[in-house]
Amino acid sequence: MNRQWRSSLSRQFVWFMSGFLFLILIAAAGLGLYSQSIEAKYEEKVVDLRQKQQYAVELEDSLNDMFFEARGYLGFRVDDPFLSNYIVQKNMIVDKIKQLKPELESREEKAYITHLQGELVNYYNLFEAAQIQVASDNTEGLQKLSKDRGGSNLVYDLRDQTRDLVSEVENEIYTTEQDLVDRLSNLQMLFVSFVIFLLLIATILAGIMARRIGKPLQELALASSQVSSGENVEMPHVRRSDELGELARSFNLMVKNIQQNERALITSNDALVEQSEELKGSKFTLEQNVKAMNVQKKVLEHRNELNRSLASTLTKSELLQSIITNMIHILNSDKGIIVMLNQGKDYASLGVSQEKVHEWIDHLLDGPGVKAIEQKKFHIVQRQASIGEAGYHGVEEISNDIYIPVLSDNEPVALLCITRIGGEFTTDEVTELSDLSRQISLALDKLRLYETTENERQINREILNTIREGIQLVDREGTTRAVNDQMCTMLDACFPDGANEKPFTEWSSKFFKQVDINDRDEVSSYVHDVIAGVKPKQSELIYQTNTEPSLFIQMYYEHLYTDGKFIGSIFVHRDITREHEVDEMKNEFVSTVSHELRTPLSSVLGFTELMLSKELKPEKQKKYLNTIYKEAKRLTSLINDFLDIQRMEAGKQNYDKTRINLKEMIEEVLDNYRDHSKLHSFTIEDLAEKHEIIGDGDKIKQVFNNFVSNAVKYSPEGGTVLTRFRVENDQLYLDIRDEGLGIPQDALSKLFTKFFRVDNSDRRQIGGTGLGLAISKEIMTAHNGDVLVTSELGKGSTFTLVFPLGIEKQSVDSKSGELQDSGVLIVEDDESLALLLMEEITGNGFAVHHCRSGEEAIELLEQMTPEGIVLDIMLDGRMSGWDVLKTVKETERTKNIPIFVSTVSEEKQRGFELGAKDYLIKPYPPKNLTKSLIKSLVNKNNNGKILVPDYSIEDKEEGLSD
Amino acid sequence: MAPKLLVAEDEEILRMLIVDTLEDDDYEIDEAEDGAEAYDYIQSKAYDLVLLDYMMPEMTGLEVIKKVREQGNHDVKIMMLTAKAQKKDEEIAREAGADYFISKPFSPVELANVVGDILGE
Repeated sequence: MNRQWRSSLSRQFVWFMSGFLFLILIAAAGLGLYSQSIEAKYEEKVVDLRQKQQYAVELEDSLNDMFFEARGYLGFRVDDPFLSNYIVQKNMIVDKIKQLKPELESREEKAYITHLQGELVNYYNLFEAAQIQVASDNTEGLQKLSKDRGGSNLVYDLRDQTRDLVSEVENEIYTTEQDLVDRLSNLQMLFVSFVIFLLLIATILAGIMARRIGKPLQELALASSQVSSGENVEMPHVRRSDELGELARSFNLMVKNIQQNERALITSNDALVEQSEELKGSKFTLEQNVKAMNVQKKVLEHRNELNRSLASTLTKSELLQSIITNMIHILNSDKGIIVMLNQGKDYASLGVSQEKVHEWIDHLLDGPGVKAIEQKKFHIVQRQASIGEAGYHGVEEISNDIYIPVLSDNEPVALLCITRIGGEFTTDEVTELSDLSRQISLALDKLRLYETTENERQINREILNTIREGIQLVDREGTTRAVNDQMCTMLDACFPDGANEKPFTEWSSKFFKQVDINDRDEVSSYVHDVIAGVKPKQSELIYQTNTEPSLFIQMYYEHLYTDGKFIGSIFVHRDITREHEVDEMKNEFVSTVSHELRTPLSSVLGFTELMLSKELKPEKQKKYLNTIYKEAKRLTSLINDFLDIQRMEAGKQNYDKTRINLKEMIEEVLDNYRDHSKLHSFTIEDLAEKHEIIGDGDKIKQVFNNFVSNAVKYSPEGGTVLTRFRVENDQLYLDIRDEGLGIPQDALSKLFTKFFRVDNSDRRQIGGTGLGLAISKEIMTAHNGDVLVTSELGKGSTFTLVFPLGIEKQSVDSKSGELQDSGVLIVEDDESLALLLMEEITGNGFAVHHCRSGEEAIELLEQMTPEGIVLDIMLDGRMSGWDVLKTVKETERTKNIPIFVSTVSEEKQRGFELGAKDYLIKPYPPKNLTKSLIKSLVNKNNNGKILVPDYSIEDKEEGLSD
Repeated sequence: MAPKLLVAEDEEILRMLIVDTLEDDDYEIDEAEDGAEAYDYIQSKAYDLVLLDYMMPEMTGLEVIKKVREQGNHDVKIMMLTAKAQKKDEEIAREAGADYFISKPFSPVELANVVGDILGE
C-alpha cells in the first residue's frame, strides 16, 4: 500500500484531494448538525419559558382578581358574589402555583414562590380575621386589623412579588434569545475559521505538490540539458519510486545507452578509418583490374559481334568486313585482310589501303601467304615494320604478320592475314585464331549455301513468274505455299498484304467466289479431291470466271511426292479465254463450212453419180455437167477463201504489188455483176483525179468482188449499188453503198472478225462462211489501207475502202535517187515484204536502199555506209544472210553498222552471237522494225530520202513470174 | 395410186438433184422452197414421205417436224436430209420426230433405194 502510494504521483494527488474533500464534508456536516442542535435546544427552552411566562402571568392575574374580590367583599360586606369569587380565585391560585412550581428552576424563582406562598398564607389569615370582623360587623376591628397587620402592604408586596416573577421569566426569555444569537455568531465564527483552515490546508497541499513534482522536474530538466550539452551528470531522484523516479531512471538508462553507443561508435569509427586506409590501397589494384577488364570487355564485345555476324550475316561483304574488323580487335592487332580464295577474290580489310590490298591479292600466290595455304596451317612472318607502320609506333619496330588459312573440308577457302606492329603473337592467341578460323569456315560454308539457295529460290521464283499459267502450290492441309504473279493478275487470288500463304478456307473462299456459279461445285470438288491427294474424276477441267471480263480457265493439277510420300499439290490455271473464243468460232465455222461445203459437194457428187448410173439425154448431161462445174467452182472459191485467211494470219500471204488503176478494176467487177443481177443497178461516182496505187491487183479485185457481192447479197430486194471515189488527206477513198438490209449496231464492231456472221442461225437466208470481210480487211491492212463501215438497219450499208496515196509518190521519187552514205539498207528477196518494210521505214522519215541478194548487198556496201541494215537470212543467190552478217561484222569499215535481222528462221541466239543488233522473226508487225531502228538510230540525221535500187516495176513483175 | 412425196429444199440445185433422182419411179412429187411452204404442203395433203432439208429460210426443217408432230400428225413419214452430219444432229432430229436421217453429201442411187424401200413397205 505504502509502496503503491509512493510509486504514483497521480495516486498521491488523488489521495490528497479526496482527503481534502472528506475534511470539507465532515466539517460541513459537523457545522450543520451543531447549528441544528442549537436551534432545537433554543426552541425547546423558549417553549418552556413561554409556558412558565404564561403561568406566571395567569398567577398574577388570579392574584389581582382575588385581591379585587377580597376588597369588594370587605368594602361592600356582601358575601355574594365577592366571597365566592374570592374562593374561586383562591383555588385557581393554588392550581397556578402547582403548575408553575415544576417549571421553576433557579433558586431566586423558587425563593420567590416560597416567599409568595408564605405571604399568601399571611394574607389568608388576615382575610379570615377580617371575615370575622365583618361577620361581627366590627368596622373598628377591621380598621384596626388593617392597621395592625398592614393588610394593604401585604397586598402590594404580593403584587410586586408576582410582578417580579413575571419579569424574571421575561428576563429569562430574553437571556435565552440572547444566548441563541451568541451561539449563532459563534457558529459563523467557527465557519469562517474552518474556511480559513481549508485554504490553509490547500496552500499546504499545493506546496507539497510543488515540492514533490515541480522541483524534481526542474532538476531533471536541468540535468538533461546538462547531459545534452555533453556534461557527465548523474540524474537526481533515481531512488524515487514514482513516475519521476521512473523518468529519471529511464533517462539515466538512456544517457548510459547513449554513452555506451558513443563509445561503440568511436571504436567502430576507428576500425573504419583503418579499413578506409586499406581500401585506398586495394582501390588502386582494382583500378588496374578494371582497366584490364575493359580491355577484356572490348575483346569480348568484338567476339560477340563476330559470333553474331558469323551466325546471322547473310551478305558476303558484310560478313567479311565484320570478320576482319572483329578479329583485329580481338587480337589487339593493328591491321589485317581476309580474302576468299574463289574466283572473285572477295575480300575485306581494315587499316590497309585499297592499293596495298590489291597488290597483296595480286601477289597472293607468290607471297608469304602461299605457305599457309599450301600447308593448311598458320604461318607467322616477322619483319621490320615498314615506314608507314612504324610512323606512329616509333622507330625500329618489328611487325608480325600471321597468316591463317580458313579450311572447308580441309580445303583452304579463304586466307586471313593479321598484322601486329611491335609485338608477337602468343601461343594462346594463335590457338584462339585457329579456333576462330574454324568458326569462320563454318560461317562461309553457311553463307555459300545460303547464296546458292537464295539464287535457286530467286531463279525458281523468276521461272514461276515467267510462266504464263497461274501456279499455286498448296501443302497437304491445303494451305497455300506459293503462288506466282500470273495467279495474282489472272485471278486476283492474292491478298493485298502480300502474304499469300493462307489456309485453305481463306484462299479458297476468295477463289471460289470468282468461279462462275455454274462451275463452282465442280471446281470445288475438284480442288478438294486434289488437296486430299485423291485423283479427281477429270484430270483437268475448264471453268469460267465471273470476273469482268469473264475468262475461261483450264485448270489442272499435279500431286507432289517426296520419298513416295504425298506432300502437296500444284494447281495450274491456264487462261484459255482466247483459245476458247477461237474454239467457239471454229466450231461455228466448222458447222458453217460443213454446210457450205456439203451443199456444193452434194451437187457435184450427186449429179456425177446420176450421170454414171443413169442413161441421160445429151441436153440433160450438159445441164448436169454445167451444174457440176459451177458447184465445183463454188467449192474452189470457198477453199481459197479459207486458205487465204490461213495464209494471211500466218503472215505468209505474198502480195505482188504493182501499179494498179482502181477505177478500171471496179468497173470490171461491176460489169460482171451487171450481167448477173437484174434487180440491182450499179453506178460509179468519181470525185478523184488519180486512181492509181501500188498494190496487188488480184487481191484488190478480190476485195472489190467481196464488197460488191455483199452489197448485192444483202440487198435481196434489189436497189442501187453506188461506188464513189474521193480523195481526202492524201488518201483515196472508195465508198460502196447498198440499199439493203443494213447491219445492227452491235454487230458492227465484230464485222471484220473472221467467221463472224450477222445471222448465223440455221434459218439464215444468206449463205457464207464469214470470211470475206476478214479477208478484205487483211488485204487492206497489208496495203496500208483500211476498211470503214457505216450502216443503218433496213436502209443499207456503206463500206469505205481507204488507200494511201503517199507511197506512190515516194516510190516514184525514189527511182531517180543515187547512192548515199545514209539511210537504211534493206536486204530482202521477197519484193512485197521489201516494199512493205520500205513503206514503213520511209513513213518514219528514214531513207531506204533495197537489194535482193547477199552479193548485191556486199557490193552496195563497198560504195556506201548505211545507218543500218535490215537483213533477211534466206536470200536469193549463194550468200545467205548469215554470210552477209559475218562479212559486215568482219570488215573494219562496216562492223559498227547495226544490223536488224528480219527472218522466219528462229535462230535468234545465232543472230546475236554474230553481232546482230536486233532479231525480228517473221511475221512481225512492220512497226516493230521501225521501233527498233528508231531506238538505235535516233540520234542520226535523217534526210527523208528513199532509194530504191535501179530496177523497174516491170523488172519486179518479171522476177515474180520466175 | 402413186405414192405422194414432198421435197423441201431451199437450194435449187439440190432440189433438182433430188427430184431428178426420184423422177424415174412412179411418184407424185411436190416441191417446197422453204420451211414454211413445206409446212403448208404437209397441212394440205397426206404425203407418204417428206424429204426435209434442215437449214432453210422461214422455218428450219427441225421446226417443221416439231410443229407437225405437235399437232398430232404422226402418220407422215419424214426423212431429214441435212449437211449437219454430226451424230448429235441426228439425235436431235430423231428426238423431234424424224423417221429417217440422211446426211449430205448423199448418193442419189442410195436415196432412190431407201425411198423405194420405205414406200414399198
